[in-house]
Amino acid sequence: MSNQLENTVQHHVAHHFDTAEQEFTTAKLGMWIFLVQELLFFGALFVAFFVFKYLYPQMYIEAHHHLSWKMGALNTVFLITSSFTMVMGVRSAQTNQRRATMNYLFATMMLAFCFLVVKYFEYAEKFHHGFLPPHFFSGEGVHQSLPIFFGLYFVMTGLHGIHVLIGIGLIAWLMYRSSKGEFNSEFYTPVEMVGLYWHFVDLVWIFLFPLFYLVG
Amino acid sequence: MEKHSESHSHHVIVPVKSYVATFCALLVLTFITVLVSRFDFGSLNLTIALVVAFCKASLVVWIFMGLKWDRGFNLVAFVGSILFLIIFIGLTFSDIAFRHYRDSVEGEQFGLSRPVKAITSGHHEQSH
Repeated sequence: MSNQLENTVQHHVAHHFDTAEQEFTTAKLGMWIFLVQELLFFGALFVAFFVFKYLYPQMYIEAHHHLSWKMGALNTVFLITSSFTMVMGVRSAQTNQRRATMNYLFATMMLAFCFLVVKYFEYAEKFHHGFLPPHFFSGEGVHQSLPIFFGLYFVMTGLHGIHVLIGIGLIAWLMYRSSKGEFNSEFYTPVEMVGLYWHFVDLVWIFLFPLFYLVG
Repeated sequence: MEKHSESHSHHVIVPVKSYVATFCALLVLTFITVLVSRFDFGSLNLTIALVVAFCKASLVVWIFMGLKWDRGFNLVAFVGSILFLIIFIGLTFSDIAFRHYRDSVEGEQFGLSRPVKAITSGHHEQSH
């Protein structure tokens, strides 16, 4: 254990906080407020999804058959597993296991890449068949309103994909700081915050997957 | 929230088995939701999918995001946002779901005074 902690960097509590505890809880509250805002932001898109589902029930049934539930299920497993490795990474930071923190963060990052690779193949197939948002739609379908579904599909999974990309960047940043020995049981605030963000990304997918891929 | 916590005493180290159990539960629930979707239960399919999704989301928020051990204020912020989302959905559907009582239903256009149409060709109505 001791040799793992050779080059640790001491974190200094910012001058406007009384204690490290106060700094930590303040950062965490800020992160939750941000995530709550994200939830409402995705919530608006889910409302749009349900409105059009209500207006065009038959079209949704046709549309969801154009999505591969196997790909969606695979990506769900990737994201759930990455949430688990992330939470273990945070725990490793809390317990001063720097090597384990790095490994878990790396695993999380790799799973995020796997998610995006699967997403790439899905998008490529949609492009190939012309199942695109209204202005670009050239696919063949029974229902005239079919492009609405793919507009929602690309906006919602696309925004989620951007969140995954940002998450990969944040995890890379954590790994860089962790390699410099900045995180330990006394200070692991950034790991905890990125962890919360990453679980939120998982949370959004937990709803996207059944609504788009499973239920018509 | 009255008790004043000492520095560092607040951080809870969650046992690994809690995380492993949550992870397994999430995988099992994913399997269930996929399995159920392979059968046609009519409108029950959506209900089951949403119930399972809410269970999974609760597990992630409660255990992985640690709201179970967190300060109550973060929970208030989170539950507050869910309440506002419910208001959003409720008010929207109090409009959308009752339009057909006023307007006639024609074809696929479900009685909106200004029907929602797919813009496939890309050109718009010219108003000048």
